[in-house]
Amino acid sequence: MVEWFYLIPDFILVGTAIGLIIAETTYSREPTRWVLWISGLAVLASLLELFRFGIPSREVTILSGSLVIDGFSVFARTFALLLSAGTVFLGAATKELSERIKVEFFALVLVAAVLLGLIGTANNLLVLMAATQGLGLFCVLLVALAKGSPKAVEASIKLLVVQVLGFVFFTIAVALLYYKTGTFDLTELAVKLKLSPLTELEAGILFLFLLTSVLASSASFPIHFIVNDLAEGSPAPVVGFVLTALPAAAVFVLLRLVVPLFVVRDPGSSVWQSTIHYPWSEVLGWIGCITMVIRGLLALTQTTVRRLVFNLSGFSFGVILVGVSALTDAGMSFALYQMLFLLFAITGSLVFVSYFTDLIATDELSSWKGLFWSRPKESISFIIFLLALCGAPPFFTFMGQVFLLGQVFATGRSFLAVISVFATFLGWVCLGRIALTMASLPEIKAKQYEHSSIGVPRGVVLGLAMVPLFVLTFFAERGLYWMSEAIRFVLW
Amino acid sequence: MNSYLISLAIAVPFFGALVQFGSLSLKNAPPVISISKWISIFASLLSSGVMLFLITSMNPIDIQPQFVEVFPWIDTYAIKYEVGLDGLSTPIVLLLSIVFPVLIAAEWGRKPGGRGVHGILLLLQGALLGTILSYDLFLTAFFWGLSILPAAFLVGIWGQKEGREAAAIKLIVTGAVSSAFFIAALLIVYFANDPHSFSLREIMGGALEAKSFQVLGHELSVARVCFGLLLAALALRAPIWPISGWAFSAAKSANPHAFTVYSSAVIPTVFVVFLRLTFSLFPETTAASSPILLGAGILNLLVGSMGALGERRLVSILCQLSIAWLGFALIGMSSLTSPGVVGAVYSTFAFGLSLCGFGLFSGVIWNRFKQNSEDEEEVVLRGLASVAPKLSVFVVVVVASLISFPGLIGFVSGTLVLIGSYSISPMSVMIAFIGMICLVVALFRRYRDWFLGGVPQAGFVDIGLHESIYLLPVFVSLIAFGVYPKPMIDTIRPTIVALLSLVK
Repeated sequence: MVEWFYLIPDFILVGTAIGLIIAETTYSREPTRWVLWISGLAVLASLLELFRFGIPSREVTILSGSLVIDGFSVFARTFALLLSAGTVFLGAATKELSERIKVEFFALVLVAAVLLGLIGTANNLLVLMAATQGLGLFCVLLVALAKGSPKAVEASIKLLVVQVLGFVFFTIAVALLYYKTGTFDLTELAVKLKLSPLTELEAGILFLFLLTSVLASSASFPIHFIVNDLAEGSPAPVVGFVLTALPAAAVFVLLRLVVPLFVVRDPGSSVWQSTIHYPWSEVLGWIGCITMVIRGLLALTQTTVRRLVFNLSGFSFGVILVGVSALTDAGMSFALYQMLFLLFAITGSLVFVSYFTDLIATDELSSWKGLFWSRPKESISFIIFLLALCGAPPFFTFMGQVFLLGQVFATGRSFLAVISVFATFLGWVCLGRIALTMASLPEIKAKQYEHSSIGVPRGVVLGLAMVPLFVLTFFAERGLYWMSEAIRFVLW
Repeated sequence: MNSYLISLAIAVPFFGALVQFGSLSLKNAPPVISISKWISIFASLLSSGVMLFLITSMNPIDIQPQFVEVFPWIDTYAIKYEVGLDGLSTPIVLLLSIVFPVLIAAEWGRKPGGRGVHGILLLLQGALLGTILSYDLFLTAFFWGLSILPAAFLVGIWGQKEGREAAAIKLIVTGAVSSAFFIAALLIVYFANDPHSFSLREIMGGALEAKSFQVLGHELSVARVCFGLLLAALALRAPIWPISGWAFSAAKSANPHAFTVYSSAVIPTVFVVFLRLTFSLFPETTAASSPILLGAGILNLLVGSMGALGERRLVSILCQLSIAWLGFALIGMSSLTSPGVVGAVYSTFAFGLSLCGFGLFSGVIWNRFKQNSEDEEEVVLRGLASVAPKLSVFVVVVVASLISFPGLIGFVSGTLVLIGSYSISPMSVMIAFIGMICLVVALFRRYRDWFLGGVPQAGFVDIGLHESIYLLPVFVSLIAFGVYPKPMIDTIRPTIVALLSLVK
């Protein structure tokens, strides 16, 4: 019974979401201001509840082993809760979301956060599949939420197609695994695969299906084309949530399922061995590298800040994919820590994308010329978040990038590491382009900007995102230790 | 000994920059602007003062880094905050300690965005000090990366209207690619050592020479690949011909003080970092590659000095002079002799200071006329000696130092490089002489045009009190270190001799 307490955060969020929907349908004409604070409090309560239990000393299984609470699941749920907190407050502040859809927006975000956490907690193939596809579906609904916009409808249809593609491939992979092992339980599955390993052909086919599914849901190369449609069609908080949650879910699936299927972890070594000859980790690494290059180049060519920032976030997830492909303890710790750091960087950047877009009514980069001089505090904060996002010093992402790519080098794939190192410069150039445009002279002296403040909800998100950037950088040693603890108990 | 003074000198400019950027949100009231200016010059001077104190407190015989501060940062992966001062870094530290306060003072009246300029200059002072004083390769890369964007912003924001943003983007691209080269070399070095380490003190000595790694099935030498990567990193941040287009583009679009930062702070710092890393990590490869360095040096000297002959714009001449100087320094470095390398390192200070003087002169002219086209400059700069005698004296000392006139700082470094190189490659010295003759012709022709011939522009006034205050430290240093270079040479030489003992 005690183990159910670990799920209290999820119950709080789902309960709140249901309550919001009931309230919305019952009292549809009431003002929605209180909705923000209820949602915010629910996320805060969930976070506190999650931290109250912390990382258990040994893994705890729930629902006959379908869910497992271990270090990795705590990380995944913390990530999901922080993402939802940022999205809720950002959604409350932005003018891009109309008042009439805010309740639905908050409810969808809360449930999607639960599903994202569930992916990191699943120890059963069916639960993993349901959570992944559920998250995809909720993301489609979030994108489609701005019903008035034809672009949003188009983006949601494209996202739906991609998610269905992922679902089909994932389902085939699950069916193949069940056919081979006769179980959905991941722990049993790992044991059975040790006794009766997959043949090269089976492993190759399985990896292909799983990889396609992961790529489809994470908008990585070659399924990166939906990003610009999403960025154009939906409000910034929605796109921010979708383009952070989906790649994060892909990394969670990789760590929960793909790695245990194809990797043996020798207790005496920090480097993991692939169980098959098929060079799947190299394929993963190259996809990460190509994602970096393509998303970096796409970011460079954008004319709107919103699309530029979203492509930059995809670029950073490419770095994480390359790092994960190294298959080392250190690579995994750095990848998780980098993900957490990027979450704050992306959220903080979005605060300002949304704020400046509201302020000057456009996110065209050329219209932001000279903005620095009329809103210096906000512009400097925005540049700080961009520095963190694209991996420039002085933030952790700089050393995170160096070490993630270093891990690839350490495992003998020097060429991939070197190419990836060179791809990192694209992020710097994007950052330079935005910063130069904003700080260019002559300065904007529009009077209407003088009194538009950033507002309380955005201020809350800003504080939540800015402080961790510095704390996580200065205490990186400690943070990386926690990440290594987080992966220590995973049932690999 | 952990005195924390080096950390203080690195940190103070960053705090000063924070104050500058923080004050931007306050109203543009005169007291706010005035207080910000004083804080910026105070921060810069405090950092410089601390470094001057440390330099004068150094034991010149000791070849080990002094005032070392070591703190673990991410100990698990051997990343440390490790800084110290040795003979090799002394000239650059002294150069930065003079150049930045002087440039901040020169930008005192900048409008608009004066606090932004001061903030960026302080950021650069801290970042470049960190780069040269780091003994941990990761920390060096960290500060190296930190200095890229501010330097480009100086050009992109306060440059000339035409093409300044394109020039800044070029600087960011080349800077970021150079950082990528640097990081690639750093990773190869880190993983080639067992146990893995970034600490220069732990991995120096040539142990990497025998190591190799595999790329696409080919066995490659760690030392050779990393030397190549570091050379490429150098070429993208210090203009080595033919990869010098970014520098010309920056010179065309930058205001004089912004380009002075490049020529007298960024380029010398990058050169010494390159020299330190290659000599200490890959001594044999460096020795084997000395003909390449010599060739690059000769080409740079010739291209820069001949280019200076054809240039008319002051900032473009400054750019050509930087290229020529870098060639000169590379010739000295490639000699692998004590006088040659000491001369090369001393030249970072000597020419850095002289180029700073030239840049300040360009700034004085810019501030008076805001010229954008070479034609206007031609019209304006005539016969200035009669109306601006103080300026003409300052410029004659700067020009004389740039052409290595005896008694001035350029003479010492020039002579040492030529003496050191002659025993190894007499031909290179002959070619260097040709380059120097071109420089003499170019600079004296320009000086004659600007100061001695024709009728001066009506209303041109000589330098005032404010300008005299910031030109004076440069003027005095050019003469003082030319007349009495011994303390500086004595500080540099032991470290160089120790490094050369690794090479040989």
